[in-house]
Amino acid sequence: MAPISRLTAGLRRLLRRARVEQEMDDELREFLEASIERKTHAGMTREAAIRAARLELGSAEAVKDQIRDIGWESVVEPVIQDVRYAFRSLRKAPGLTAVTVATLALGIGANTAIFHLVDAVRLRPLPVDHPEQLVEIRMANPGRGRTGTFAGRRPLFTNALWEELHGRQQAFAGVVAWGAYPVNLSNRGEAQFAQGLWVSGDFFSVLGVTPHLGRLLASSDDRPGCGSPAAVLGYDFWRRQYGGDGTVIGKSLLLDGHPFEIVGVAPRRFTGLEVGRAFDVATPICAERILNPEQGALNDRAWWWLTVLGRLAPGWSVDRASNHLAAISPGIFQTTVAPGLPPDVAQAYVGSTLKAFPASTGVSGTVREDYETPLWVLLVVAGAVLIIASANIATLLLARATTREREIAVRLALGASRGRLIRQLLVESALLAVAGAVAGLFLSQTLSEGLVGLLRTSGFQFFGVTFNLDPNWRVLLFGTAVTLVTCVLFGVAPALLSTRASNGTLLRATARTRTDDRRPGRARGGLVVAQVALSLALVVTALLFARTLHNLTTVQSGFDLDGVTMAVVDYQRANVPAQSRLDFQSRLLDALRAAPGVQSAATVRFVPLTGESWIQNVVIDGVQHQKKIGFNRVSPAFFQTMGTPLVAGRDFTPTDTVDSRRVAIVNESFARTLVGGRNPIGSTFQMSAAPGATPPTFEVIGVVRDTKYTGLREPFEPIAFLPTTQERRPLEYVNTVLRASGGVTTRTLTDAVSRVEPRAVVLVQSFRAQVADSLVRERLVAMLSGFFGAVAALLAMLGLYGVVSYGVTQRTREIGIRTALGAAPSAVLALVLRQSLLLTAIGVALGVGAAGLGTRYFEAMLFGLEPLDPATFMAVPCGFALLSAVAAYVPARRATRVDPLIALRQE
Amino acid sequence: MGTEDKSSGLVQGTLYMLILKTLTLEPMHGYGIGVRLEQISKGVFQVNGGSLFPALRRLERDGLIAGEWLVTENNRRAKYYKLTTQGRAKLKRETRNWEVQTDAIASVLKASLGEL
Repeated sequence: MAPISRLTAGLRRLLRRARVEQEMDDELREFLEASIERKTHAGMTREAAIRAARLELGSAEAVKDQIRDIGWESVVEPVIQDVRYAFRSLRKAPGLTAVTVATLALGIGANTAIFHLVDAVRLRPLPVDHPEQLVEIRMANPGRGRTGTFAGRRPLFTNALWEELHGRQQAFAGVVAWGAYPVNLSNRGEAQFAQGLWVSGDFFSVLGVTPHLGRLLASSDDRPGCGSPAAVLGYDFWRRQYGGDGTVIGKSLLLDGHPFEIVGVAPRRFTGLEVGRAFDVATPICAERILNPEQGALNDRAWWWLTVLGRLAPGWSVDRASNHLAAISPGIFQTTVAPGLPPDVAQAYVGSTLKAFPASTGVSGTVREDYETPLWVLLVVAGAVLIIASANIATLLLARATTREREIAVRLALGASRGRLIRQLLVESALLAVAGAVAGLFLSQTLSEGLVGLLRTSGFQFFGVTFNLDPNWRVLLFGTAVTLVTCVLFGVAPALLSTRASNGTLLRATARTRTDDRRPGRARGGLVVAQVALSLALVVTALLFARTLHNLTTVQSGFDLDGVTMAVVDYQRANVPAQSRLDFQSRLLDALRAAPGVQSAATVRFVPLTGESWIQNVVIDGVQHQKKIGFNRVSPAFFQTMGTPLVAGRDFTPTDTVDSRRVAIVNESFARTLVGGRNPIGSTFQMSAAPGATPPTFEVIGVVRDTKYTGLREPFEPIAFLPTTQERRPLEYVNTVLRASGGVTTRTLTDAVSRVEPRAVVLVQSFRAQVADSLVRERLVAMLSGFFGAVAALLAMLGLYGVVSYGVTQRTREIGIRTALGAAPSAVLALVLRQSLLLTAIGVALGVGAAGLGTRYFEAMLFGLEPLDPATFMAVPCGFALLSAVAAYVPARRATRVDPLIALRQE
Repeated sequence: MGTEDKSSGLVQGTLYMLILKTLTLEPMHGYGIGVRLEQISKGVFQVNGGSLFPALRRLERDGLIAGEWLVTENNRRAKYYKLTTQGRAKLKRETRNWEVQTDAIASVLKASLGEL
């Protein structure tokens, strides 16, 4: 009861201040009146009674103060007064307030936005029941034992391995498996890809996910044979594809041309267990057989395509679960070993152990690996910019404090304590910070969405990155912490400095003539040095990233990318028998070549620079080469289409058939490996094969210029090209590349394909766009760090300009005297410039040091240059010296024009 | 809590008890409480406004007394304080404590040399 009455009484006092004060006055007056009355009754004269009563009561104001001091609100009240006062004084300086709040909003907003992405990539727990109980299960040290075909983004399990684990484990309340795959929704013509997800039957129930609509998959959906398979839609996909139609349940959905029944829609927040990726359609694992009848992954023990997560049973720790997994591993691996493995590989496989790894924040295919470091780097960069901006705000506030020096001096002289004044100045800073933070937090939502937008690629939707950007407490906490730090940075120094001077000196001196007290000047100098140092480090960083991007976009790939278009043709629905597929593909190529605008066309098994690869051991002169070689399979005219010159021998021709001797074209690197400096044409090599099988021998018929294989960052490696025309088991889809220097529309190509086979599905993309997509991360980092670097440099130069300007104003009288005594303008110029040059020199030295220490942390993100790239480390300091000379020259010129008469008369 | 009333040497905290006691009979305004205290204590306790008002405010805050603006016998408005149920309970507790303490102090002070 008492706490409540205390609270309400305190609030009443805060909110109805005038009323409460009035009552207090009334009560005291009544007390006095009663006292006087009693005294006159006792025989005193009225005057004497009044005097006596007043004496008895003492000072009415003191009594009131004592009363006011009671209660918690007496602590809060002065702060509220400070806030009111701060509001008033900020409103009197609208320009300063607007600039400060805008700067802070941008700074805090940018930092929070980047942190939001860091959070989404690294920190956010999975939106499922008790994410802390989730662990990933995978091989403890996958070595030679894990061989075969790998599909999806995190292929750690084969189906056999998963089923054994599922059947034997006892450490988990449940285990789930999933694998991602691109799936085509379109029936004919242009392909439309969606992100498919194979999931085990109890996937949703073990994770504790409840449907948004309909039902989710259950164990009964994932059974051998599969029956008529069910599909669950992702929430965003449902909104995008079906407009959020509630009647979608029970309808049929075509996946790669096979009908699935839509049974439900997943909740909005649940987008899967992989960081940065969202599934569009989830289907039971058993349905894999339906989509891939020929190359089924279900029974292939060398086909790695699943990821497995387990929910720890109550009372189980990660270590205990790992011990249990280690105990059951021998049995699991023994029963799932793939047939036909070389003995040493089989032995390595059987000897493997499974282990549990914490996975409360989900697992990652590539997104976490690709983006975590860049995001941390950007966060550091944005943080540095905010520090620089804070320093600028501190300078602004210091300048304002200088103009308020007299006000502060008067208040100090009148007995205000220094603590009280500091508190008041800090309240002002806090108010600015809070305004900036609120605006910044709102801004950050837009900014983080914009950042994700920059990551979006033009290509397959399959490769798109998505993040859940719902605001959460970690992001809010981060924003608050950033605000607090900023507030301290820009608020404390001015508050301490401007209240430091002793009362007497300040009252006597006027700001204009003082030359003795340089303390605020020194503080400003320190701030400028810090700004120059930090911004120099940022510009160095930005330049390294910009040059990396430049190096990557101009690096010789060995191809002439302009005018090259790729088209993936999927003709699975045409049911072309295996023996007619080569023929079908060549008819397809003829049709494409005949399309208007197309100059040449070819097929290729693995499209270069997309990360796809086919790496194999080769045997040269009977000895296995220690390094694996990249392989590819291409049709005649591939090199001509891609603009790769043939340097020796001949191209493939249609006469290289399955029945003729096997031939290969190698690149220059492979030629050197094969025969050293001799002519490689006519030499042979063998592809290693499983024991028992005869390794095929290939004769080299041509040599091409070196090209990149999986990506732009890699050096030129040996590659062997085999002819498509000698392919023994062609697939039911084919990658084609076309040269059309004038460009060609998707429509033209789909029409051309449709004329050959109307049931075929086509996906078209320009090769340039494909390569640009592969550089999206580099572009983001270069763009953002460049922007931040430019802002930082600008702020630092403004800071320098400000401090020199201030110095000139402060020293007007001194300069006037010097000029009057005969100092030449050049001497005055030197006097002023010396100060700024000193500041710049210290700042540049510190900045170069900081950059030198810092850049090696992101060495892996650079391409074609060292972290201590000499050109960058030379150019940036020179640029800064030049910029700062300009920034200082303007106010220094003004100093030379000081008229001694005017300067001295101002006294 | 509370400031000691230096003029009359009241033990800290006892002023609250005395105020509560004076209010057991009837609601009173500030000056009345002071006068009544002085009368009952036969002039030993003279409580001035500087001590009385903070004490009243504190008791009011703690919900032990409640104030109400009423018209006095001389037709002026004054704030009358009355005891709340909690205040009554508190007074009972404090009185018992006080008696126990004074008894104990008395027996210590009256102790004979042998008992020491």
